[in-house]
Amino acid sequence: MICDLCDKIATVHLTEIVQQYKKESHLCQACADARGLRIAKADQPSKPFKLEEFLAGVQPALAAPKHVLSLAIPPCPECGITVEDFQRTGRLGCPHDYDHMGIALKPLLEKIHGATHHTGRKPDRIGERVEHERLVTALQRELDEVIAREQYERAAELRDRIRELRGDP
Amino acid sequence: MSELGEWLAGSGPDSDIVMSTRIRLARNVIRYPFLSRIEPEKKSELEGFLRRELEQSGIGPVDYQNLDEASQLDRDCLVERHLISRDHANGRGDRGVALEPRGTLSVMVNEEDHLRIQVLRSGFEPNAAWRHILEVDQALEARLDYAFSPDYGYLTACPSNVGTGMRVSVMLHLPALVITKKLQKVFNAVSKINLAVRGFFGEGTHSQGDFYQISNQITLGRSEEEILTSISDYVPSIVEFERNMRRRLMGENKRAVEDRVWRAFGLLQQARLISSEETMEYLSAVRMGVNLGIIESLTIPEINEMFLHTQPAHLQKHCGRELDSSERDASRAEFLRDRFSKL
Repeated sequence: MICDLCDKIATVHLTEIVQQYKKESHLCQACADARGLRIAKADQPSKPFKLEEFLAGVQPALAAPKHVLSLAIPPCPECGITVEDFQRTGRLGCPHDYDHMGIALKPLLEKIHGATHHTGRKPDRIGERVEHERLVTALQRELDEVIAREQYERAAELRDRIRELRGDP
Repeated sequence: MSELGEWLAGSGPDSDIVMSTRIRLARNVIRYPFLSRIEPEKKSELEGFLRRELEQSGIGPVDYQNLDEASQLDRDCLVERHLISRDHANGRGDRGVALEPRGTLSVMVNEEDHLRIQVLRSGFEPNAAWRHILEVDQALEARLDYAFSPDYGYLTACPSNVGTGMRVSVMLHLPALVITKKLQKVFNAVSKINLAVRGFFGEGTHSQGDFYQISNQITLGRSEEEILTSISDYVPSIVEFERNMRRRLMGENKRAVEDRVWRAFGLLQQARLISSEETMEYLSAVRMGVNLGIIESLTIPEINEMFLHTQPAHLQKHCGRELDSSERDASRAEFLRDRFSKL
């Protein structure tokens, strides 16, 4: 079977339940890694496969059904933090989390600050790299969405664009 | 370490009641995770990078110290001088602080955020402190790519700091409000306008030495000017309240106030063993006595210095060795006796 995102052989076969719908994905290891899917690999036989860990890593909401918010939020592709990690420590993992977890953060920001939008000063120079990073994050988020909707052609385009922006081969 | 920070000079507007004004900005750079998710090697790399940038940024002469290499005693002294946080002193791994010689600017590297820039001023000086810290921030952002989002502002590890990343804190000496039990009134009023009050030394609402810190809680959805205004509008009314209560105490029972001040003076002058808590309590009364003209042989900078040098780390630094708690009480009493005997 061929990877849904590129033309390599798919070695990761994933069945997700997203909002009551069953969804199957077939990915090669590289694409699975890029999406932050961490599964006990064959070359790590000492670590037995555990269903709870698998579920907790892939779809936190299934392991912890009370946290409805995390249903829609996979771990951050940049730093790997989950909504549960954040709820436990109160600290975010990287600057991308504000965009990535926005939906979960906004009620919290409203509660702390009574506001969800910055009105203070901006850096005199918003560096090109800052803009570049923001673009990559936005594309990554779109990629996650189109994969969830099984729009694989668009996903492949986005993946190529992200690779190009990141300077990956 | 012997020089007193400028912010302890006892100068500046309202310095009889306002000990200091502090502003800090939380900043992070792109391409590095926040500190809770960073690998040790990446953390070291970030520290080296930020150190070089700080030294070359033209923010003025800065002395950079790696805190992982510094002794616990030196770190504790920096905490007592309010130049680094307790968490930063007790943290792990490569982290540091850039200090300007006058002691008015410090930049913590790899604390909760990549950078914590802080400016301290003696007395009530929010606008001067803001102008200074803005200059430093602009010099740094000309070189660094700060993590910034048009939606959320400056991005910080904890969402309670996001937006401006700015905390303005004013340290107030409020002995008369403590004596007249009016502090609760201040606390209640302050919380309604989203400012927080907490004891400055010690934990919780009880403060050693009657020092209280007022700071803004909200950092998102308000501009820096609005945050400064909320502090500038409110602090003078607390200062006036404290002054009124001092006048009232003097008017109603001058002898009782004088008795309180001179008893404290006597204890500090004669004690052979004195705890940190007692010292704070008596120095607070003496400080008020100086401001009310009851004691004329001491100055505010001298008292401020005693507040600092009777803290555990400074005492041990002074003695040149580690002291246990009872040794510190003896050494503290000796230090104070020496100072008071010269009066």
